[in-house]
Amino acid sequence: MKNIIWLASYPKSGNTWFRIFLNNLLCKGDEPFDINTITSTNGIASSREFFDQFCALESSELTLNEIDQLRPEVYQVISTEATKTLFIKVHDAYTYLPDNKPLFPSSVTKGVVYIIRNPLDVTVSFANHQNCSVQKSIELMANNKYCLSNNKKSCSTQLRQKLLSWDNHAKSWVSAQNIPMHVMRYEDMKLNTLETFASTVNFMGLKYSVYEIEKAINKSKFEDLQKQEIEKGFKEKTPKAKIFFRKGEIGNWRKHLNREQVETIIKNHKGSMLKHGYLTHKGDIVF
Amino acid sequence: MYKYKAFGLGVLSEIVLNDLPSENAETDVTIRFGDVPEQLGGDIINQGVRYQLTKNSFLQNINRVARYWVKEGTEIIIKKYDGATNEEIVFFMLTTPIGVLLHQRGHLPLHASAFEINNKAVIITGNSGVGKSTLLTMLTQRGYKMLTEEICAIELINNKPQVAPGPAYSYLWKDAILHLGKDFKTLKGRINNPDKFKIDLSKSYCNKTLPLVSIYVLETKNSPGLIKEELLGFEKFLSLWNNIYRPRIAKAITNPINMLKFNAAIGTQTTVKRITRPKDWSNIDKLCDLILNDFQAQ
Repeated sequence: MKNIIWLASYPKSGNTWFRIFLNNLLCKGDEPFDINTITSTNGIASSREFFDQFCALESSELTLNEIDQLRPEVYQVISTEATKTLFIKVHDAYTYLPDNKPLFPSSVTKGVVYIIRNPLDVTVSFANHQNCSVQKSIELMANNKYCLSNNKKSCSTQLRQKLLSWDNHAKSWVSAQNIPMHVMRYEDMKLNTLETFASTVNFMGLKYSVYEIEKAINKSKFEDLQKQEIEKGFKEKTPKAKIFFRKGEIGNWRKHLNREQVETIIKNHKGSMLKHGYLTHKGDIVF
Repeated sequence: MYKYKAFGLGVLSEIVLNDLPSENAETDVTIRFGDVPEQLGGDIINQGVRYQLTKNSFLQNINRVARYWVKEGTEIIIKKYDGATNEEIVFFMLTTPIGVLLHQRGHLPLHASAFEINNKAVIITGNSGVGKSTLLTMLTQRGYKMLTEEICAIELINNKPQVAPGPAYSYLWKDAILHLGKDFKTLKGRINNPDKFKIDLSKSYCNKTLPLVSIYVLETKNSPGLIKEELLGFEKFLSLWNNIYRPRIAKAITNPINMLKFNAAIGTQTTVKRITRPKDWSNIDKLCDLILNDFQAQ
């Protein structure tokens, strides 16, 4: 049954903000929900705990490729048992297994919301998240073999996620076959919030009024998320990062990247930057 | 056939089980090779990825290794796949199949390690990667004896919760091994995961069933420092349920009256405490100290 909506994005692209909004929309109430209890969305596709539970196995006892082989079956079982639409976060790129089957089966997919953000800003945010230099962040985002949770020395709570390069991550999802796709830009989320979120809510098949959507947006303001994180921490922050909700600004890259770094990033990711309006055909940076 | 004792059960096995103590006990469970169906017949009460469960029967298919059929808490039948080694077959058998068998027999298997202190059993439980095995190995380095790792089965004997010994080993990731000062180059890696290593703990092994007195539930957080809190009432029950071995299967197979009996016995005879630790590993030694000091202070 097609009842999973994948909330897919490269890391640091606004996925968490959107899920917090969705939580505030689906769980009616006047007060903003605790950022540490995002209960209305259904976890992350690479959750080791989900995998282990649905396979009745310790994933740490399988090879990484064996795990990948079983992941589509995990989503089939999750979908079969679900009684409503599931909203599942994904950072993996949309990849295929050796038998040419997609990691995320179309048979369970109601749709994909692909959240994309200017890679110039992602570079800076990703450096903070990974506690690495901006230069290292540029290299990681350009690496087509880059994976999250690929640490072989300890047991992560997440399964390995192949990200590919930032450019190929975007291309992999946007060009995925046989699944309804809705691309939402972070910059539109910031600059044209109500219309952007309302359009996405509509794509997901949810019936909410403009008033309700606006209320949920107001309960999910970035400044309030920052405040909550300062007061009580945020469980999705990696131990390496100092803070999760850092700046959230459009164009913050201008304070952190030199000209050579900007040129490198554009060279690495030009295709998707052009396609999604981050670069004009003349080569001007839009945001 | 070989005879062993595991989880308080006499085991008669066609396959060698090097990590279980040999004992000529009355047979409660038989493990043998044989034909195993590809699907179970009858009323399927739960299924997942390559496993099925009926009221009395469980079937699991481990790719390239074997199919396991666990019947009525008394038998495990194994259909070996070509090329599978006995080591792999035994390894996977001593996880979910034996865990389900314990569920079928009315034990309460937790995803946990356990060790002996002052002739009592102390359990450490929590999600995968939280540090149960690392702590257990660290405790053995400090002179304590292990009871079990991965699966800790609680049984009610005369209404008292008891923990019986399981296999005498631990599996650790490289980071944990380095932290414990061991040389992973001298250890055997897992076939499927060469970054996880087997630690033989047979020299630090307690081969007795012991009364359960304490459970420590480990969780992680994103801030520094260790937090310890005693769980009471419903939170105590929830902590057990949240750490039950193979929860989807447990939910389908556990007799609610049995669960209430465990809850009542553990509720009155066992302290349960939650310890929340930072996600990084820098304080594992302090965590070990905290558990030992807390137990001694009880």
